[in-house]
Amino acid sequence: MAKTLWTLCTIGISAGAAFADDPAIPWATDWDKALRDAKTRNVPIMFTVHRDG
Amino acid sequence: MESSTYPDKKVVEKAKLFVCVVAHDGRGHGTKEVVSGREKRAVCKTYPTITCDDHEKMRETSGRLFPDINAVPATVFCDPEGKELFREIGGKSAGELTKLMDKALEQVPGPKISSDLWQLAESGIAEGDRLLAEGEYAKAIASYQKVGKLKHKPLVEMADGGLGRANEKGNELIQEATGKAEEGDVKEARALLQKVQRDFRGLDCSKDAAQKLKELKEEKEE
Repeated sequence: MAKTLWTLCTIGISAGAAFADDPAIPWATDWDKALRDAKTRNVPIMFTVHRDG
Repeated sequence: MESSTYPDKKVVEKAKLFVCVVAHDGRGHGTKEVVSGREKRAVCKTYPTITCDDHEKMRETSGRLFPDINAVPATVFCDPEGKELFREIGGKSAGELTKLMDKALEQVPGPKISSDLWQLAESGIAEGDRLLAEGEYAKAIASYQKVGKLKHKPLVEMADGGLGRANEKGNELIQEATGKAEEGDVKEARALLQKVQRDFRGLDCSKDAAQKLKELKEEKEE
């Protein structure tokens, strides 16, 4: 079992795939839902604006 | 900021108490594949929980909400209603950003639901809805009840909503059983009512099904 898991992980890593539970900020994809979620969860919104170059 | 501040563990941890939105022009960040369960999907290399299309699309929103932003990077903190609390212009280190995040959190009193808990609740409700649609009633109810145990009022309300939908489905089945009994198909009606009584245990419709079964039995004896 452990060997199988290890093999699968090795295949994934060697194929250049990352795992979704690597720590990363969960960015919102829809503003209306973001606002609804913030209200329900009672949390602030962090809105960042960037530009390339 | 994109390459060092956002991936920082302390920033990621603190971000769980926020709804985070990024507007970034361009689709040239490249993609990488991430594996989530059995699913593999391509995401933006810079913002690895979304696609380049997602952060590009958010530019329209930022232009509408904050038309006066004329220097970037800009970070705008808003309260849960979307009202701006304060904003900062310029790149920030992880330490600087977490301090700003703390400042925003101080301005939003009351209990907060972390993104981890929120995702757990949303996936529990979605799973319950899927099971309900597939006729796996007992499993659907168990999924809603699991969300109801998360101890936050909004999550309990979400769970109650799911249980309400399950109860409606149970009532529909009772109606169906009543129709069958009226058509003389008492055996089928009994089987359906027994299913509602068993699979919807704990909900009002389960008690109603038990009552209907009792009535059918009495009618038969008469």
